Amino acid sequence: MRKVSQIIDGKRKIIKKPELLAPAGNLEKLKTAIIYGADAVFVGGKEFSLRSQASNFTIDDIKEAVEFANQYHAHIHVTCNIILHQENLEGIKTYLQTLDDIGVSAIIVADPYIMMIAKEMNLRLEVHVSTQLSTLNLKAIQFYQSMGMDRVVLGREVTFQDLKTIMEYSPVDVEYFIHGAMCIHYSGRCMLSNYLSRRDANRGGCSQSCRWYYDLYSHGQLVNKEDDIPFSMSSKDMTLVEHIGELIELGVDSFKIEGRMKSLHYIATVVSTYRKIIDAYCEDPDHFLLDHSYQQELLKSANRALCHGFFYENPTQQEQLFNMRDEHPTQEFVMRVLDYDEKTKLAKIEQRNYFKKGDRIEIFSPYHPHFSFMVEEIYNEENQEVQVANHPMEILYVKIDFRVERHDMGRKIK
Amino acid sequence: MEIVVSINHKELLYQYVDMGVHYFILGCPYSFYTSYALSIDDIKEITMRYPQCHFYVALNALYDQHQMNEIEEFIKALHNCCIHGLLFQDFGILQIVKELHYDFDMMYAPETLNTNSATLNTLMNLGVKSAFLSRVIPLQEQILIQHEVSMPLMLQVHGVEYIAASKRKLLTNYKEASQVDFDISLEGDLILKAKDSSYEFQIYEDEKGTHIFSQTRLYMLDLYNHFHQFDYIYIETFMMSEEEAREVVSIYSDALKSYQQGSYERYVKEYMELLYRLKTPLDRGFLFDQTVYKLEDMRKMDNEKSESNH
Repeated sequence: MRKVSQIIDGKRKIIKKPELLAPAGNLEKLKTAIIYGADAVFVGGKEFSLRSQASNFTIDDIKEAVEFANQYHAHIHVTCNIILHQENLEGIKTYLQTLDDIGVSAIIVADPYIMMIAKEMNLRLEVHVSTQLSTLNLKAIQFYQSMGMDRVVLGREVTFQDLKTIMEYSPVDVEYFIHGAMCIHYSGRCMLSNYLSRRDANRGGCSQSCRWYYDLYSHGQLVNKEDDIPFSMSSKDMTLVEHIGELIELGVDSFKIEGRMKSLHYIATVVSTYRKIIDAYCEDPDHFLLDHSYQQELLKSANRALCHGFFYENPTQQEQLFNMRDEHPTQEFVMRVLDYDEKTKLAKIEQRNYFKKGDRIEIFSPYHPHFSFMVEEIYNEENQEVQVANHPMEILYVKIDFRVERHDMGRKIK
Repeated sequence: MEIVVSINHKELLYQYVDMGVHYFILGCPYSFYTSYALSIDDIKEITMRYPQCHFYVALNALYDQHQMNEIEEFIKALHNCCIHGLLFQDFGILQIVKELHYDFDMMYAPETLNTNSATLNTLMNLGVKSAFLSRVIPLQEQILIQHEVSMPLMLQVHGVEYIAASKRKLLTNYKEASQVDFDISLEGDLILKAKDSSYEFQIYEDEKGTHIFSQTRLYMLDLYNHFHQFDYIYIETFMMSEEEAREVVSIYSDALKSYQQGSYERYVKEYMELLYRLKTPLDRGFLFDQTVYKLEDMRKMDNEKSESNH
């Protein structure tokens, strides 16, 4: 049993703070995740990684990521979690050695061959068992321990009750998903994409066929008629925002946020929210009250309805999406702050989505509380006043009376 | 080369043995999927009645933590049943067997993961004694892997193909959400068809969750010359009627005998005729096809598809 808390100066405090592990699909997202409070970030390399559609990292990118992370005492985990085919066997050793040489903290692995060679090579980096292996019980964890694995990322099917037992006896670190999209089937065991679109799900080509619409026939007769809700196998996304305290008390080593293909806005919002909750809880666990605003904040970045996944029990129809009405757009992320001039009160920003004069913008930040303002003045780089910001990535200057910081972001309030 | 058959109709066992089949996979209450869950007493009785046969028990689900004590007790009970081995995909099962020092033939059968020789040779050093090769790789690769792996391998040569499984009750959930009424069990004969796709799957639900299989049967009856070096060739009788299962096993068994006697080439067309007469949908799966995963290959495939639609 892990010792999680201790009485310090008459007050119980959490001494075993979990790692907050965030996803990143590119360097910009990675840096944002760290600035907004991630202790570690997981990224995919160009080789041996799932999510082939995410803009995966080159070795130079990973090197830059490690250097950036070091400045913040954060860690970089690299996913090497494809299931290898014969054609993928070459080049692994060189790749792992390179990752180790540039200071990557851990690799996330699904194929036992990669696990074994990583250990045989005596690398400094840790080897984590990917959720692709759907690890659900202690005996399986003990098996991975016998292989020298440092951490197991549990399958998303693990309930809180089972997690309690696992945390009591697990001989290695345990990583648990707290937020993000969920596979509807057992991870690593789903071939829908392979059969329906010839894309290999276990090598990063998943076409998310589970979220498609299907006709259902029974004894040759169509079951779901045109007017019926279409059949699909699409899960709502997961959030365990209300259970962070319970998970910290169990001693879970790492809280994982899913979403290497998600937006900068998503990463900043989700990481920042969980960072605040974890810090507040660890500081004073016995008087922590979950502020409703945290849930509201997460909803701003969610593009699907949220649920608790398997946390309580087997998910019901309430945890599934049966039609697109349950998918809703995120609050519009419109600007990223690059600089701020106290004298002129002009914020130098990078435009991310359309906004115009008269719009109300909410500024959120890793450094200060949220606030909102009405857009009254916008200037382009030639110092000409403009009415609308409608060019993606354009550098603009926006009048904001309150001080903002580099890395703050703005989203339009409807 | 031995034919291995899953037992979904206990009554057929005698006939299979009579056909010269001696390797069987038995379903039990903890199997990932089976239409015939045998109790410990059933298994004991069968193994005693057919001492010349080799029986594997399918303990091939992914198990939740709260099930593990029960599973361990079941494995201990199996140890008294003279079975040959276990089919498994959860490494927790392997760990239990290793801790108990049982000498089962531990056949690693994760449906989708056995796709290269290096991994299988690694697993051999970790207590895996045989393995069931993935179906989602081309025949050429399967043969290459067989050449490079030092332990016995099993290849599915006929029957429905596993597609996916969920712990969730996807059909019940849909029934509740849609208020559409239908039978969710195997008897419901449910077919799933993606919009804009011709591919059809069989889907059903039981207490373990939701299971999806191909509607078509993979067949390799005419390919003995290619897979003859495999130790085990597997016939999946799941979702087959008693008659279909018996006929399929009989045809493959006859084909194997003729292959061993050198007359296979002469009779292969006749065997295929017999198979066609069953009028079941047949498929080659990924035997002569392969999946893509690199972004550029996916784009290329999408472009080709789009061009062929114009």
